[in-house]
Amino acid sequence: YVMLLTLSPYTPTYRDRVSPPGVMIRPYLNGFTIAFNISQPSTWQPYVDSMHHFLAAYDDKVQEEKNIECVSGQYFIQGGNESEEKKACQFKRSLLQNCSGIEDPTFGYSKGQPCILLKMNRIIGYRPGAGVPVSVDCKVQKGNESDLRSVDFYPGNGTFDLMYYPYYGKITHVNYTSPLVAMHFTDVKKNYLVHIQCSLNGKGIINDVNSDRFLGRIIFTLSIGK
Amino acid sequence: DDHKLSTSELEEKYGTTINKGLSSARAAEILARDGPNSLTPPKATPEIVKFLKQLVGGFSILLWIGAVFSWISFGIQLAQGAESAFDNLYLGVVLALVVILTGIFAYYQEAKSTNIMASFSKMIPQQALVIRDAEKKELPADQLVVGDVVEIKGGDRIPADIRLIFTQGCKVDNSSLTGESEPQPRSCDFTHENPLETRNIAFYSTTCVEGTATGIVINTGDRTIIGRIASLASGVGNEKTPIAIEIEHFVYLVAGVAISIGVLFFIISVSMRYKILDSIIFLIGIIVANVPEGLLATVTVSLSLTAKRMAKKNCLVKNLEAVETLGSTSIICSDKTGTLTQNRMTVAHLWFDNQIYSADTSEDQTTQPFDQSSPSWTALSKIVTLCNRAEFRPGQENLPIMKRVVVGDASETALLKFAEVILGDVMNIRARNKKVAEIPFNSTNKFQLSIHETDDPNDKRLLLVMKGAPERILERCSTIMINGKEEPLDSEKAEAFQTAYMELGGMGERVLGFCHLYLPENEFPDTYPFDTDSVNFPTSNLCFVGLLSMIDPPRSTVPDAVSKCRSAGIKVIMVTGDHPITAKAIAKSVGIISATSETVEDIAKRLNIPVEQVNRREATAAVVNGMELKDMSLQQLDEILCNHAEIVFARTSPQQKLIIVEGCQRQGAVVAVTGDGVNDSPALKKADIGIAMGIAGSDAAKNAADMVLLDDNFASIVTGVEEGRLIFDNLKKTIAYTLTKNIAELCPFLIYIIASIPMPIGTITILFIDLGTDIIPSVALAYEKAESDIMNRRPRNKRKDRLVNEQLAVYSYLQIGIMQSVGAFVTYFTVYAEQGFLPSTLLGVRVDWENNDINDFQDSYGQEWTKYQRTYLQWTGYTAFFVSITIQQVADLIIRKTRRNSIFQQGLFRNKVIWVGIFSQVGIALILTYGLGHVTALNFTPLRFQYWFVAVPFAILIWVYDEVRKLFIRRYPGSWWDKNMYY
Repeated sequence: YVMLLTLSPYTPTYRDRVSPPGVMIRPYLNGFTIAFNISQPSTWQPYVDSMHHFLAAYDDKVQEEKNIECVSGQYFIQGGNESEEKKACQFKRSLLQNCSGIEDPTFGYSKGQPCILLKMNRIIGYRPGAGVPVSVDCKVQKGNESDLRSVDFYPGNGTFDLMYYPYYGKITHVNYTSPLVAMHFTDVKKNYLVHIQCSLNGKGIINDVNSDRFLGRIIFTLSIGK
Repeated sequence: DDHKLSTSELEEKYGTTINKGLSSARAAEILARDGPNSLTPPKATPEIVKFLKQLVGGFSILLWIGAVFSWISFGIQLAQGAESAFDNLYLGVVLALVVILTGIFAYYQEAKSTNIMASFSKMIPQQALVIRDAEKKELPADQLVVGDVVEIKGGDRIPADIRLIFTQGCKVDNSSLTGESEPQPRSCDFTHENPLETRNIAFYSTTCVEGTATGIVINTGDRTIIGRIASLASGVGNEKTPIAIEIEHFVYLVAGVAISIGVLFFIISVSMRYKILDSIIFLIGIIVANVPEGLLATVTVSLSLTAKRMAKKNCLVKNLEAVETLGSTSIICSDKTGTLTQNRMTVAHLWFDNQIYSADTSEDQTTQPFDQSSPSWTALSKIVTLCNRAEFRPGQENLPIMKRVVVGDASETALLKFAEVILGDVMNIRARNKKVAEIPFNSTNKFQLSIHETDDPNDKRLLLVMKGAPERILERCSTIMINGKEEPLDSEKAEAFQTAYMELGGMGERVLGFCHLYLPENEFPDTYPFDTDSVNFPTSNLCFVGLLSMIDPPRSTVPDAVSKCRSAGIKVIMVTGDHPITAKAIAKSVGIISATSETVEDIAKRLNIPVEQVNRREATAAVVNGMELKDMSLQQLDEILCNHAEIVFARTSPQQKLIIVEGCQRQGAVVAVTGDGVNDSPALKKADIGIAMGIAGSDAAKNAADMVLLDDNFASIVTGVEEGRLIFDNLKKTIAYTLTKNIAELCPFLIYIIASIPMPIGTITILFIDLGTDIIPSVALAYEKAESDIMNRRPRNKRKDRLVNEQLAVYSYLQIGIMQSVGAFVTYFTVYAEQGFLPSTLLGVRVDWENNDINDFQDSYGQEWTKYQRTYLQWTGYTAFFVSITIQQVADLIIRKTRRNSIFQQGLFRNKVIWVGIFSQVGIALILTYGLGHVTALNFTPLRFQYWFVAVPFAILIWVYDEVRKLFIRRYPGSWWDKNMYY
């Protein structure tokens, strides 16, 4: 019994059950329906609070203090002893631009243009996209295409930069902060339930398995009232 | 009282006349009143009721509850819109299917073993010759009514109870009623107060052997004597078989454990603030884990396997549970004739030249060993050969002598065969010694005489030979042959004769005397006109040659079987209609009364004191006469049954058999009774196990019995007992095997509830163990050989030696079961840990783990999991848990082969079926994990191969632990360890 504990140091023996990665969104309160009325701040304030809370770890100051700046466009591979502490790359909140909550502390909710953050699940040693950054796109899952007229993605064109990978596990990679893609839904049909599916696209990403609806994609519902 | 009435009184009573019979109209009226002349068949439970009973019996009700709860929670979850709701629907359907399938299986088994009950109707005669409207008519026998005048001739079955009013040489065979096979004469005379004994009544279902008769129907249908016996037999309650009681006890025990743990954890989970719905689902899981779904089917299969094995050994079992009943038998009440004995007269002893010789009485005699050199024997053999009317049926020359069919009565047959064995072709000898005159045997002279020419061409004298009752023969003799010489019969020689006669008679043998006389040639030439009516030849002053005594000898296998019974602690009681002396002699020769024991009468004789003064407790044996039994109170009977180890009931009427059986049962004994006549059927029914004779038995007896002995041989019963004891032991092993894994199935739920870890094993997976991998191995245990000589221990005590006792439950549940759970959990934790969830992380994780919305669930390494990824991991956990239970069940199977002996003593490879079981177990597990691993609904995943071996050390531990347990049991019998660890 003790024997099996000694078997597993910093990386789990197998990772075949966690990969390819799943996807989550923020704000997350309960369930995957984001519904609010623009005119009633109390209906969107919880989402905004959740966003602020989640992004606190991404404050530019915090990131600058703890993490280093890395070279964009390539995997940040750290050799050496497995037990050595690993460095983490900065992901500054400001990269999210309109969705950073810096200029607009309501993340667009007060205007009916909500920001939603997309996060890829962490997997130790996983190098997404095999050299080409994984990108994100969104479409209406069921219903009229025109319900979702435009989405802005930050940073870049909605890609997860390679420099944030691979992940080395929580014991050594203490300050690791998952990279994010912010989706700014600038023109969504109002007073209407819009089912949106956002998927990862890239080599090795699976996003069309029926049994797991969070594998490489996420489905959520926007309902924005006036 | 009809037998006492005169013909005219009868005519008056039934409104009929002997010549004209009833009118058709009157007959129709009576038929409408009394109903048809047929036996009402025993009330059969409708098939559908039997089937439904199977569906709710045993554990089924628990599983139904589980299924209903599953559907309720499915309904609620569906209403709440939960995604996983369909799991519960499936589970409910699976549970219901399990119940229905096992129900069908049990029903099928039962239906197969109860294909009887119809043979009563077979006894009804087809047609009867009736006088109605002054005409003779053939009517179906069930149309007969009281008052009908019927005619019977030889070969007919008696169509109803009939008061005879006219007979001609009529004899009936009452064996189906009384078991006596001797044909009994019937006449019109009222001879006995008791209607059963009187000669002027013929009974329904008996056969008319010869002659003709006319009679008035006095009882029809169920009111006939046989109808009353039949209803008496069905009136005797069918006692629950011991194994049924044991299984019921076991079901209650397990169901009790299941329900109490279930309810306890329901309360715990509710008070731990789980949702009621969740708590109900836990409850279902606990019930399913606790109930050994496959066990009852396994028990049935094991029993029927044993039944098949017994059928091969000539015990045909009608009622499966009777297999085990036979094993727990503590008293066997056995018939004598045919069961203990060969049911044929055989020459046992000879007396000539003042000396007793004994003959070979075994079943397949081919020679006789006694001294045949004396000229007296030559003379005697000549009388035996010639003074005999019995003949072999032609065309049997190739059969062994003992198997040939003979025309003639029992004694003559015995003599004929005896002579044939020693002298060879008897018919030829008779032909060479032509018969000149003959007086057949009759009951007034009690001798048989014939006069022959001799085959000695030099001797023209005629030979007169005579045999008969010894004292009558001696009266007619003046000389006696000693070593071939005639010597005068003085008082000394007469004394010797008396002693020999008494001795042979005392052995319960039928003794015949033989004498001859060479008629002087001058007085009786060839042409002498012998007249057997006026007896114009000498029949006294003959020369006495010798005695032959005959007995129905015991079967050669019986003494051995009786001594086996004795060492197995089974009391054998002989119950016979025979004479006490004969009964006692046979009892002594087969060992029912052992050589050293004495009856009260023996003691009295030895001490030369009156019987009343003997201390009854000193006598180990007792011979009880039916007449004494009649006057005995129940207490007196109990006293006899208690105080005497060796008992023979002689001259008992078949009705008294029932009393004896009840007496034995009052002692708390499990009683096996053998019987063949219709009248035995109440006793057969009353007995814990009724054993009917397959050859001699009547249909009614076979019907009432639980078992049929195909060869009528007592020794087969003993084989049956052995099998019955073996199956009890093996069922114990099966149950212990099955119960063990229940803990390994139950613990996951309990720990899941208390520690909130991800579910270690699914309900459906449990069903796959119970009804999949475990079935064949548990049946395989039924093939296990006995550990030691099971015929050397006492029959089990119904109240104390339970099938499932405390030791078995504790050892299976709390010792091996816990080890197995630990082994399975280690595998489970290994699987999770190697995927990133260390055991410490798993504790208390249940709520988030099962939350569908959390799709970035962090493991011990910071990796994030979607819900489906977690669920898939959970299924991998199920599979790992399943596999390790399977692996450990292999060890469990091996340890269950023996309860006391080491596996090495028992032999690991002697029971091949066990290995079939092991391979099937592993094979099914392989198919489930790798073959069906992609079928989502079954919750199996292809498992990494190394996980199969995680539990192996635990399997070895289980084995070593059990070997140590057995070692201590063998080393320290009677110690604390032995008492608590031996199940």
